[in-house]
Amino acid sequence: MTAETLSDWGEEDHTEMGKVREFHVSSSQHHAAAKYLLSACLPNASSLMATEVVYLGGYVIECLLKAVLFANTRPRKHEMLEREVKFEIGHDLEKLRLRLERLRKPIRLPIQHGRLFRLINTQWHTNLRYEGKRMVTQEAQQFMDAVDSIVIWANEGVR
Amino acid sequence: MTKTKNPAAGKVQTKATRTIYKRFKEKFPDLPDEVEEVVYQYLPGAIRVRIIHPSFAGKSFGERELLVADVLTALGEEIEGRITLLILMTPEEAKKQSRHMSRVFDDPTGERL
Repeated sequence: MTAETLSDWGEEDHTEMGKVREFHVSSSQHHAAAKYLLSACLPNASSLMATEVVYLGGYVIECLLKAVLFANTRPRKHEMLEREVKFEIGHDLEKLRLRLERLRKPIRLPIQHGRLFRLINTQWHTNLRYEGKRMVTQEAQQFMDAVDSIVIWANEGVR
Repeated sequence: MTKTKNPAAGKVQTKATRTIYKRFKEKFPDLPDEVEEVVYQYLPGAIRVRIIHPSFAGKSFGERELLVADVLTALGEEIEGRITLLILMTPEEAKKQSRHMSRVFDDPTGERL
């Protein structure tokens, strides 16, 4: 089985690609929202908006990697994979990355992208929404730069 | 060893984690003597590191990473590439119980909700 790129399934109605589409669309929506909020953050300032950028940015990667996982799993196994994603992987980016590495044809982040993944995984968690922490715009920018790089890597083709 | 899709998460020490501890201990001699306070293998291929040190005060995440870049480089790409969580915090930040990532580090079996 060859690794599927996210652009392979295009706009056509591929029923078996439903989860791929669902996660990819979610990722794209979070990406657009995070970029919009980032554009509204004042330079050299700390803000809750910058924290929201990071909060949304993490979901970009979570949804994207889940799209990659489904795109590279046989459709007949999607139902089982969906349960695994929901009950075992959840929001855990480390488990998600490991799961990609354990595919029949393993998908591994290149070393540079691995470093960006580490940056994202260390700064992002779903509890950010409760902490009320004000992040600095530059940190949010750096976080989104890392997100952008991983998005490009996934969209250009996982090989 | 059987290869499973979802190996159990935990705090495991390996040759790689011991190497990481040794390197960071050389740079930060006042790190705890308990290895798992600093580094452990969360999952196969996923190592977590937490360095608590006052030298990180007033620095951004990127600047903190630069402070430990020499250690990461010395580890080599194979080991460095397995570090999936790198918490670099000051003692004051570590005291704040609201620091979720520190709790995630302390309890790898807990939910990341």
